[in-house]
Amino acid sequence: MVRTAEASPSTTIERLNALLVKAQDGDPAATAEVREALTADPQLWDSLGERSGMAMGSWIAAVAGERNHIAKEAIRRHLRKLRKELGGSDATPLERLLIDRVCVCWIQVHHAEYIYAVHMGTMSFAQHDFHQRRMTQAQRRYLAAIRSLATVRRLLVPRLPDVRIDQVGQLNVGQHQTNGASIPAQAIGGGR
Amino acid sequence: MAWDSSGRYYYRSRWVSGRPVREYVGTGLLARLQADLDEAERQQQAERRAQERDRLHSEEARYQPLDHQLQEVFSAAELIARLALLTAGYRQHDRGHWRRKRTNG
Repeated sequence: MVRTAEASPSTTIERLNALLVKAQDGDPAATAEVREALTADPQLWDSLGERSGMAMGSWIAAVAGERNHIAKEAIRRHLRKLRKELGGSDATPLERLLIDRVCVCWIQVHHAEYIYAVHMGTMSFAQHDFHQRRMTQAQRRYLAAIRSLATVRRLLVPRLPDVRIDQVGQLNVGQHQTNGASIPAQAIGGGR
Repeated sequence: MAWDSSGRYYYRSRWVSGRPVREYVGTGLLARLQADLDEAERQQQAERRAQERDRLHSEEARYQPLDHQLQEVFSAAELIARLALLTAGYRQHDRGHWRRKRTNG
């Protein structure tokens, strides 16, 4: 396959960064261009996914050791579980990207804590300082990654309306209240 | 730590309760020996500090590519998330919560 005039990932990111500034200022043309880039450019998502995958691989090798395949596989399994718990399989591309970021940040937090714990006894004051800064930075990134995922989920991902039955037998769908006696039993999971 | 201006009397300086104190050590051969010992100790301390600095630099260099790679992934994902929220009509209020932008009419 011949690829023509393909923008490199860093060029795309630079372009999107420039568009972000314009879109933040309320430029409708920039907003339209961003929307186009996010929806009609599968290569963008591919390249971002690829980058996340590469970063993940490097961190797994750093934590497990280059040749320790068993440890690598154990970490990969744990990451698969973490990704599944975060809703990876039926997630949107944006959610998948943010879930991957949470996973990479999770490895970094554990790596920083592991290194510090193992070498703590032999560290100088300057090394203690360096490693504690690394741990703090890693934790801050990890929390920011989780926060972003939660924000995107809350604001962008369409959900089923919040359905629950309150103590007086009323069915609440979102903010609307309905009397439980007036709706069929199957609708609230009863009458089998 | 120094010899006085005549070069005959050797003094040492040290900190006592946060203030520098100049302490007379001696003169003659004994003072010269003590001065040589102090100088050797100073050199050892400087070497230890240099080794410590090198060790820290090599440690920083070891993690730098990994941290850099993660930072790139982190920034790119953050950028995309922000763009997605902006195009959906949200604005971030004072670097805090995202709120839907008010539209007239």
